[in-house]
Amino acid sequence: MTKQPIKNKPPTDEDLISRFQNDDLAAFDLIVHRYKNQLLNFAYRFLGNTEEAEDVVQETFLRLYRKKHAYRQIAKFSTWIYTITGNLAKTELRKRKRRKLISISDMGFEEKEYEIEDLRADTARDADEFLKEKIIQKAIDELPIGFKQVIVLRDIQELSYEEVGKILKIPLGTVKSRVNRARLKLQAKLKDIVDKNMIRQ
Amino acid sequence: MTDCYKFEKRLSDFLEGSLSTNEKESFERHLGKCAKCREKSEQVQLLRNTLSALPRHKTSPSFDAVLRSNIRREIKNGGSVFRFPKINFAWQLPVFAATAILFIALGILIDQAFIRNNQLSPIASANKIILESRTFDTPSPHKTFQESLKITNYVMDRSRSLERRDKKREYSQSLQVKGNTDFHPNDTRSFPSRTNFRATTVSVRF
Ligand SMILES: [Zn+2]
Repeated sequence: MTKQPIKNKPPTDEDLISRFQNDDLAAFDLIVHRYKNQLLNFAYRFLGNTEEAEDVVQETFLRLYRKKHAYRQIAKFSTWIYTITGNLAKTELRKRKRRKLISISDMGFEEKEYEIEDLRADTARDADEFLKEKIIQKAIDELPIGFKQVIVLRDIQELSYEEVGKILKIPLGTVKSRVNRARLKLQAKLKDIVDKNMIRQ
Repeated sequence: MTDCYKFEKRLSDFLEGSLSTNEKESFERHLGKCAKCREKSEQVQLLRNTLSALPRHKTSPSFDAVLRSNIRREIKNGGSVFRFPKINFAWQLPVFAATAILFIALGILIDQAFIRNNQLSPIASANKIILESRTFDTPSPHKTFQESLKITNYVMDRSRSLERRDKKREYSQSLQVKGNTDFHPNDTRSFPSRTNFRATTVSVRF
C-alpha cells in the first residue's frame, strides 16, 4: 500500500492529457489510439453514416490538438472528449437536416435499406446479423436527438448514467428517465419496422 | 400497488436492479398478472442485450494518415500549436537587437540540438542575420521533436508577424521561412520524424 508499483500500470487518460498539455506529443498519439475506435462507433451510431462519423472523429482530435489547454482536470477526460464528439455529431446532424429540406428527391431511400443484394455477407447467418444491424440502426436514426444521444451513450457505448449526465449536461434523474423512455420508444419502432419488413417479404 | 403506467415508467430501474426490495416485489407481482408488461419487459431487455452486442465500428485504415495530414495543415496554416510569449515586434532598435540575439540563439540551439552534419553557422552582423537552409532530424521523436516543432512554429509565427507589418518603416526586412514536415509513412504517429525549414535573411536598415 505504501509503495505503489506504478511502473507497470498503463497511464490514465488524465496522465496522458496532462503530458500532452506539457507538449509531450507521444501522449497525443496514445490518446488517439485509445479513443479513435470508441468515438468512431459512438459517432457512427449517432449519425448512421460512416463518412460523417469519420469526419467528426477527425475533427474531435484536431480540436484536442488545437485546444488541449481547454481541458481542466476537474472533469474526467473521457467525459470531455465525448462531449466534443457529441457536439460535433449534433452539428453534423443539423446540417444534414437542412440539406434534406432542400432535396426532396432522396425520399425513396427507405425501400432500399432492406434489399438483400445490398448485403455483402456470404453466409445466411452473417446476412441475418447484417440485416438486424441495419434495421436497428435505421430505428436509431429515426429517434429524436435527445433519445438518440442517451441510447447510444448508455446502451451502445455502455457509459454510466453519471457520465452520460455529465456529457449531456443534464441531471442524473433526467438521464435515467430519458434512457427509459428512449428504450421504450426504440423498442416500439423496432417492432414497427420488423412488422413492416415481414409484410414486405 | 404497481400499475402499468408506473411499471413502464420505472422499467429500466427494474431491469437494472435499482429498485428497493419492496418495489421490486411489487413489480414482480404485477409482472405475474400482466401479460402486456411482461412482454414489454422482455422486449426491452432483449433490446438492451442487442444494443450492447452490436458490432463495434472502427476507424478506416486511412484514419491515421488523414489525421496526420490534417495536423500538418494545421501546423502550416498557423494555428499556433505551441504557445510562445508574445513579443511585440516594434520597430525600435533595441527590439531589433533583441531579435537579432534571439535568432542567433536560435541558430545556436539548432546547432547544438539538431544539426548533425553539414553545418553552417548562422551569420550575424549589425544589420543582417542569415540562417541558411537547414535540415534537422529528430533522432528520438519525443523530446527533440518537440523542440524542433517549437522552433518551426516560432519562426513561422515570427515571419507572419513580420509580413503583416507596414513596409513604410525606416527599415526593410524579409524573412522567408518554409516549414516542411515529413511524416513516418508507415506508422501511426501523428508527428513528423523530421522537420526542416529554410529561414533566410532578415535585413534591418537604419
Ligand atoms: Zn401492466
